[in-house]
Amino acid sequence: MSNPKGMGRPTGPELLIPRRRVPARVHGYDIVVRPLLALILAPLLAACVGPARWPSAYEGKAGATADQMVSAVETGRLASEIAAAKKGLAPYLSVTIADAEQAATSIQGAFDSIQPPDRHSDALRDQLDALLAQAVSGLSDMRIAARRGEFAAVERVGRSLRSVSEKLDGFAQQHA
Amino acid sequence: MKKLLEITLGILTAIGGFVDIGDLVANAETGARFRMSLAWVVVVGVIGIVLYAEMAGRIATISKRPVFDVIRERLGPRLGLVNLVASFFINFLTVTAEIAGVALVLELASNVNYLLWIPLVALMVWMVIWRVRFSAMEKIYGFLGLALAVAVVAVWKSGQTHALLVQATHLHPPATESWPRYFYFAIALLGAAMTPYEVFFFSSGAVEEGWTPSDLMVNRMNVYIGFPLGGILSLAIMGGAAWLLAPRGISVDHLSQVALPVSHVLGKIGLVVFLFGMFMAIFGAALETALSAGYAVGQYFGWQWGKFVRPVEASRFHLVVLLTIILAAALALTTVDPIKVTEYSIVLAAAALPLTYFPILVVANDPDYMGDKTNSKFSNALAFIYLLLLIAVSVATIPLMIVTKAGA
Repeated sequence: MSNPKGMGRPTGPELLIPRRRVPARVHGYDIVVRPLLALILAPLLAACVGPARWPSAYEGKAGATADQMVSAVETGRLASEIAAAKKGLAPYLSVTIADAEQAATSIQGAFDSIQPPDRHSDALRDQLDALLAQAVSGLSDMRIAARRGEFAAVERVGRSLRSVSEKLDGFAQQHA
Repeated sequence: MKKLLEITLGILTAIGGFVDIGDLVANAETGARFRMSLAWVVVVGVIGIVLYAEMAGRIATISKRPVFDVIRERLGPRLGLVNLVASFFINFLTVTAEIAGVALVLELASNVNYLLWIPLVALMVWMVIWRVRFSAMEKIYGFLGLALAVAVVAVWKSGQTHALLVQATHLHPPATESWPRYFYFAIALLGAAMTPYEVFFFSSGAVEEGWTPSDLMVNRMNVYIGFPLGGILSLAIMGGAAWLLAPRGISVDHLSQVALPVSHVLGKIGLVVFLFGMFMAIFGAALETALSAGYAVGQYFGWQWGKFVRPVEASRFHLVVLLTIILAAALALTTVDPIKVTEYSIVLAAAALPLTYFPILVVANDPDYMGDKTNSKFSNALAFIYLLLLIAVSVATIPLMIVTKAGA
């Protein structure tokens, strides 16, 4: 392309069309600050985790937590299957498993931070917590093995996580 | 022959350059949660970006003035400032997401934490913008981003193509998802396909490269053929997630999960090609978004802008680009989740779409600017329908974001 020097400047005699002004009568604060505040505050509002004041709400959150943990565990298991088939690169598999572990730890932490509203919810918490702990522990073992390049161990842990995944899935469906 | 080569190269560049971190995340996440039931949104988004990018390119070619300059003039300085602030904020989030995205790809290839890569990536982005010619910069990364086509091969080799096409005819959410979430993710997909920076960059690029009316054919071919083929890459990424991740209950929270289908089907070589394609596509988008920050601010304030003049003649433009890169890298280094930043950037981009596209439609019909190259009746009818859709999307975005807890 030839050098288009001067063509991008929106002023001066090279302009084909003169500038036109459109009058605006709205106050600057209203039209600039408020939309920007909405853009910034909306994601913050959306990201809030609400408390569970009633047993049914707590049960719903427990079910959703189990569902999210299935995602993390299955990601680890899929990575272990790819490792077993020798279809993945070591750094990639290691990062994928570490990401799954990080997600699992975060899910467990978020659930544990919710106050159970009654005794029945305490029992539900204990039941799910045991499964979450197994999932996090399994993914941690998998990450350690992957970083050491021991992909036979990764595959073994992946197989052992299958039952945890099934129990979590069952819990999620029961308490959806 | 030279023209044909230019058109071919332009098309290939448009295909590879169509996909960025927003498309990768939105399509994979949607495929994993909604299978192919939202594939229609990609088609709607591609038609929309084709329609308006062609207009933006035509406006820039005929009037010699890029989109943001025209927006300021048509909306007036105050409303233009709203547009600038909103667009700059969303574009800034996108620059952050792209820089972090490149760092994440490097982490996947090296197992070195992405936070350590971010300063280097930011430096690379600035160096390329500073040193490499515009036309070379645009073509190299777009062309090499074509490596992402390996995702299409993976879907084809999986033998699931027919099943995925059948899924695409189911225009409702699966039993596990609600309608509000379905529409929230539809908005995310639309925002990813029609991101405003694409038209800022496209129209500014037309001025940077000194397009003349004889280049309008190149503009049309790039847009009419390149973008739809780029949309096929998006659908392939969605398809991979739909057939492999969705049945296992995997939702996409990390970039590493996007590559799982390709690795599962094509093995190590496929994975290497896919990671390379992701790097090139996201790096190219990082360049485009960083430049778009400078374009928007420079064009609004009437400064000299662009890479077609020596940096000393467009010092404020380059300063804005540099500061944007530094601040985006700083935000990414706070350990904010890059995937969440990406998700918010595309959804908020969807909310701001009418601010960008309405003035384009008005100017594309104004003979004072366009002479005899105004829109056809068909283009206008389609563009008007799209504008109504974008306004509806804009109104619904924030309430849906709050109701669905950002799609959680």
